[in-house]
Amino acid sequence: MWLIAIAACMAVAVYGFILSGQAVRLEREHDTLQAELRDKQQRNQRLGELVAQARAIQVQQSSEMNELIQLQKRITTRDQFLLTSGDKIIRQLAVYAPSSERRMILYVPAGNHSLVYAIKEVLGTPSETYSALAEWGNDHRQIQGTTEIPLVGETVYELRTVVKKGMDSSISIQLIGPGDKAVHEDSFPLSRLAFQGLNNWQNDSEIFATYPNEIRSAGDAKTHVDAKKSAPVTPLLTFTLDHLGGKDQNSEGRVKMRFWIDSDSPPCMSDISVAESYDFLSGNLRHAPQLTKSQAIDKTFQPYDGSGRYYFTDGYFGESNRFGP
Amino acid sequence: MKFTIRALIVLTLLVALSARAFLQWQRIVRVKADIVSVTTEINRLNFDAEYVDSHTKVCELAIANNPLPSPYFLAAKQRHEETAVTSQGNAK
Repeated sequence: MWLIAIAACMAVAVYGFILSGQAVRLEREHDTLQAELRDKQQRNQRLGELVAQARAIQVQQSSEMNELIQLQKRITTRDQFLLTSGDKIIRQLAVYAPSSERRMILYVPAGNHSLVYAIKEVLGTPSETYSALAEWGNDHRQIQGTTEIPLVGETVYELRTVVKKGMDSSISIQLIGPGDKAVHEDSFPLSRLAFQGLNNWQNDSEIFATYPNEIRSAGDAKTHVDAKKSAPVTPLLTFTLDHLGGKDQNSEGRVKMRFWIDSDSPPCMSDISVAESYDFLSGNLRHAPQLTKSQAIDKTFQPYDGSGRYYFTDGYFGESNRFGP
Repeated sequence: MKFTIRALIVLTLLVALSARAFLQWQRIVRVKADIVSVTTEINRLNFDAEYVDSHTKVCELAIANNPLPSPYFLAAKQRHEETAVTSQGNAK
């Protein structure tokens, strides 16, 4: 009986010893995991703070732009244009011009840029012209017969579009550069039809500011495909000119004009836009294309011509997000 | 009497050892529960480390490259003030 009692004591002691060893091992594992958790929490907290800071910067930049829009509303000439520096293309439509004339003040940042425009006239019923012109110009790169005017970087221009009505109807385009000199002048004869005034200006009287060839995040565009379509060029504005309905069907028609900036810089996304797109909770980008984790930042974070600023180019967003032709 | 004392010693030893084993078992259960909790939290935060580091660097670069107020904003405001001063001077 004593032997049984001693054996029981020994068994319990050994079992206790094994449990003790297991507990020590588990506690070490627990400590390691705790350290890993602390590390992850600190890393994510740091990123969270940086993302919040990036968002605050973007909000502040937007607020600055709104303030400038208020100041710019009083501007009537190219010389008075306030935004004469910076790395964004800025255009403002001057609302003081007569109805047959439109004026656009344009600032282009450092780098090589061209103002490109195209004019197309289609005769027919409103539905016919609408479908013909809707197809025309969906993709800037597919438009034939464009006119290209080289621009000097960090310069303010004024673009005047004048519609002449009557028997010799025409649209004249004039680009005024430094010293109020005409950099470009051209005229496009239209069908001998009566016209209504210029209409359908997009974002009329508003300032439009964008980085050259800026990739819009999916939050702005409906899809990434939409975002990429506009990437190779920077659309400035589109407007139409309606023919008045005359005595016969053939007197109806519509003219469409498109203006955009073609820049040497590659399609890109601003650094602050990429930074603020990070969704801290999911660990993903909310609207911007998915970052390729293995991409070296210094290879895709490139300087934009002469401006001293850096942008993320398409390489940063991986093969799956390559742009179109 | 001698038997009773021995029996008591053995019994006490057995109880003590059992209690120790029980405490160790409880310790294991507690640590295991903690490990499950920490692992769950790690999995919740388990964003790709390289990705997080990469984006941290992006944020650092972006913040460094976007001083506030923006230089172009300051330049535009200065130009606006200069224009306003000139206009007032001309008016006088």
